[in-house]
Amino acid sequence: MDANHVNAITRAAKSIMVSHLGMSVEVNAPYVTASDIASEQISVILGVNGELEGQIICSMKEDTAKSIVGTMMGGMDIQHLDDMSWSAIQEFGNWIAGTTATELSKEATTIDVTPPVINEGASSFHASSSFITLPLTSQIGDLNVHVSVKKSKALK
Amino acid sequence: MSSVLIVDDAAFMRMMIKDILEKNGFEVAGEAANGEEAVTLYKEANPDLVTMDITMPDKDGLEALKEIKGIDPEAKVIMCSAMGQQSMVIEAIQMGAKDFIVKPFQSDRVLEAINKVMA
Ligand SMILES: [Mg+2]
Repeated sequence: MDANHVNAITRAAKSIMVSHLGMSVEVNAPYVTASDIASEQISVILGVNGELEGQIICSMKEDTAKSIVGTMMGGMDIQHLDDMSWSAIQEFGNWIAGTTATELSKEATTIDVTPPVINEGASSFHASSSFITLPLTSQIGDLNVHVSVKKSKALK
Repeated sequence: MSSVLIVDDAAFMRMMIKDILEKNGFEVAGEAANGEEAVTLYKEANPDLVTMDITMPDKDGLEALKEIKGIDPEAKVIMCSAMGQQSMVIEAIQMGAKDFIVKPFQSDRVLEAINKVMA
């Protein structure tokens, strides 16, 4: 994966966590994972198509998800993830992927993002190509953004 | 009172937008979770304004925008999308959208856009 693409995703994740949700976040060095990744309790999966094809997976512990949802709802204390919370956490993934699309366009790369899907329960993802993992640490816990994209074969 | 049709696949976003609208004296004409529902509800409710997400299952917001403008060329539609690349903004405006709000947004940005379009 292109370093510019990794930088675009880093800017996107930081912008949502820091500028919008007001978290203090540390972005650790991205690393390449094999085509299998172990995910946390909650993962939001978004498809990428256009000039790049693949997936963006935002993975976190349940407590981190509750904190994110609470902040998105204007500072609520979330005890239990109900339907509205699940919708919020999906939208959180959509914000990260959508902002990634905006940032990538500044690197002359156009992508489109598909609607989010949630995976609940620790599990592992397998893909035909490797993942880049972007690890973010914050006061509400870790957020790992796993990205597996490659240049699309069917370019317009 | 102006009526607004809210279109977004995320119930959370519909709740947020509904809250902003109701606190500021707008009436919610309906809520749609995809482009297909948006077109149906537009015909039924004939709202003064539509807030339209883009990334949605079944039929996305750009397709719904095109259909709504086909039914009613005077339709006032404001896009609300997490994707904010210039090419998409230009495409939406050329298709007849009145404004383009990038999510996540501040409520002021939404109100500013709505007030400008309704003026
Ligand atoms: Mg959406």
